[in-house]
Amino acid sequence: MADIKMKKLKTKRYKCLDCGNEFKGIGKRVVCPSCQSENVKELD
Amino acid sequence: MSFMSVRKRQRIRLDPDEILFLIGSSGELGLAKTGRSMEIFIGTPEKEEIVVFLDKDDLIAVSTFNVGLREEKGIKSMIYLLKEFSSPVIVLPENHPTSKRLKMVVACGNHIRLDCNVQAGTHPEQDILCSCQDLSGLDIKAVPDGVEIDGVLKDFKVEKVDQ
Repeated sequence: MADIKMKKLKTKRYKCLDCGNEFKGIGKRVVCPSCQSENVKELD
Repeated sequence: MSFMSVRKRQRIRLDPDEILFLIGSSGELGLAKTGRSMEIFIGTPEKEEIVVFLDKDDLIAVSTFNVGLREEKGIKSMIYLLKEFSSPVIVLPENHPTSKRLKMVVACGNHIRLDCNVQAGTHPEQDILCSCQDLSGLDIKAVPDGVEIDGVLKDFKVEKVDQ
């Protein structure tokens, strides 16, 4: 579906403090994609 | 008498239940407003998932390399899959043999630039989406009630779509 140079994507790592899900994201309004919680923490 | 194309900036109203088609001679671009906060999921060859978080005024853009009703149906279908099914975008590794089969490519966000000189695929880190030659150079920004397009735009139409 796409042919993206993924290494150039400026993603951040997040952890959901409600369900523990860890994910990579881009954008302003970050919510957990698994449980939709806004209680997420940016990881280093 | 000769005519010269002049770049201009224009705003086009676009509701979330509409698609704006920018029509070139050898390709089309479909633009849709997200209309709500939503996510687009990107699956990578490294077995990772990247979640793109979009705001309600952001845009989803689908570029095709042919023109016509068939392509417009494809654009509508792709936008429907992304908006209503949260269907993931699957990324092929660079120079994957099936990349040449791609009939449409996708970008999203609040700013999209069209360029005919990039390899078919999305380049979200640079806001670049490949397009046909006569749509190349268009600079598209999301604005609260639609889109703002800077460049030479010859032909476009807005269509209502089923939600």
